[in-house]
Amino acid sequence: MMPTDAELVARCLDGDEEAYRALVLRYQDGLYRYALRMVGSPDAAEDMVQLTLIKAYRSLGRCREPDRFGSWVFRILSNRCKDYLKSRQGRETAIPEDWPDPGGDPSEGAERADLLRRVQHALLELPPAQREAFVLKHVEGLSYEEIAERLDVSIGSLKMRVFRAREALRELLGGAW
Amino acid sequence: MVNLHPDLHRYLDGEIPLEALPEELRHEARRWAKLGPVLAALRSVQAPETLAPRVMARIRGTRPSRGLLDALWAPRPVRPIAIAAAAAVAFLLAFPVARLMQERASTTTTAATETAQEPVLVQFVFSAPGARSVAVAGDFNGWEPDAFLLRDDDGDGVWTGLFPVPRGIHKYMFIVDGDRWVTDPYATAYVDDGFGGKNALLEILHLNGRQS
Repeated sequence: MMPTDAELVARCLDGDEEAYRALVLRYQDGLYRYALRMVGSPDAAEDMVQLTLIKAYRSLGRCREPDRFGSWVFRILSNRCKDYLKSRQGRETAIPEDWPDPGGDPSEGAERADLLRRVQHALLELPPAQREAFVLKHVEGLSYEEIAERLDVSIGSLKMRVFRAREALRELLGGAW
Repeated sequence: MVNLHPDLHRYLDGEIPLEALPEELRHEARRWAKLGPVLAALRSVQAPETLAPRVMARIRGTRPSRGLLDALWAPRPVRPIAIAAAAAVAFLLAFPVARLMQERASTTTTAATETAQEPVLVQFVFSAPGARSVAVAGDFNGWEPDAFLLRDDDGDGVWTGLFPVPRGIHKYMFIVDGDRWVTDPYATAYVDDGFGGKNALLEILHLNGRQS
C-alpha cells in the first residue's frame, strides 16, 4: 500500500530524503502542467516547479496539514507563478516552438494539431485568474470543491471564473472548432 | 463577448446530460465536446525527466525546517519595546501609512528633489510578527518580489523600508515570507489585480499638486 502524504512528510522531517523524492514524483506532473499553462514557457515552468519543490522541502515543518501536502505545495507554486506573471505585466507571452507535444493519435492529423495549437494560444490570452480556474477544472479535471480548497476562494467565485473563461475561449476560438 | 446559456454551463459542469439540453443548445454542446480530446491531450503532458533529479540534488544533505521547533531553538534578538515606541507604531498603523509617509517624505525630500521627474522616498510599514521576510512589490519596481525588502531590526514584528517611488499613481502589494501576497490593509484605495485579489494604490502628487 502506498504511503500517504502525511507518512512521507513525517519521514522527510526525520531525515529521509528519499521520502521527499516520492512526494516529488507524486506531484511533479500536475504541478508542471499547471505552471506550463500559467506561464507559457516550458523552461520557466520547470524552474517554477523546481524552486517550489525546493522551497517546500525547506519549509516542510510549516505544512500544517501534511495529509494535504499536494494542496499546500500547489499554493506555493500558484503564488510563484503569480509573481512571475506580475513581473511580466504588459509583455506578450508567445507559445514557444518547443512546447511539449501531448501526443495522441497521429491519424487525427493536422486538424487536431491545429485545434490544439489554437487552444494553447487562447488559454494564454485569458486573464490569469480565469486561466487558472479553467485549467484546474477542464485540464486537471478537479471538482469545484477541490479547486476552491487549493485556491482558497469560494465556489461561487470559482464558478464565475470558469464560466467567464469558457465564454472568452469561445470567442477567441471562434469558428476554429 | 460571447454569453453561454446557463444550461450549457451546467452541462459542461456535468450537472445535466446532453439529452436534458434543448435542441438549440445541443449543437453548441457537441462543439464543446470536440475539445475533450484536446484537453485530455493537455492532461497527458508530464514533467521533464530532469526535474526530480535536480530537486533532489539541491536538497541533498540538508534538513527541512521543523517549523515552530526550529523557531524556538533559533537564537533571536529580544529587545524591550518602549511604550512610547509601541504607541508610535500603533499611531502609524492607524493611518493610511503609505500616504502619510509619502507626504512626510515629500516634505523632507522636496528640498533635494527640485524636479517633478525625480522619485520620492516613500516609507512602507507593515506589521507581520513572526514573518521571516517582508517585501513590497509594485509597478514601481517591476513587481519584483525581492527588490524592495523591508527590515525589522528590533524584532518587534513591524517591518519598515524607505524606497524611491516615481511620482504618479502606483499599484503595490506586500509579500510575506517570499510567497504570500498581502494587500495593504491601510491603503486608501484599491484596484482589482486580475488574480481575484486587490492591489493597493499609492498616489504621489507632482510638485504642482496635480496627479500624474
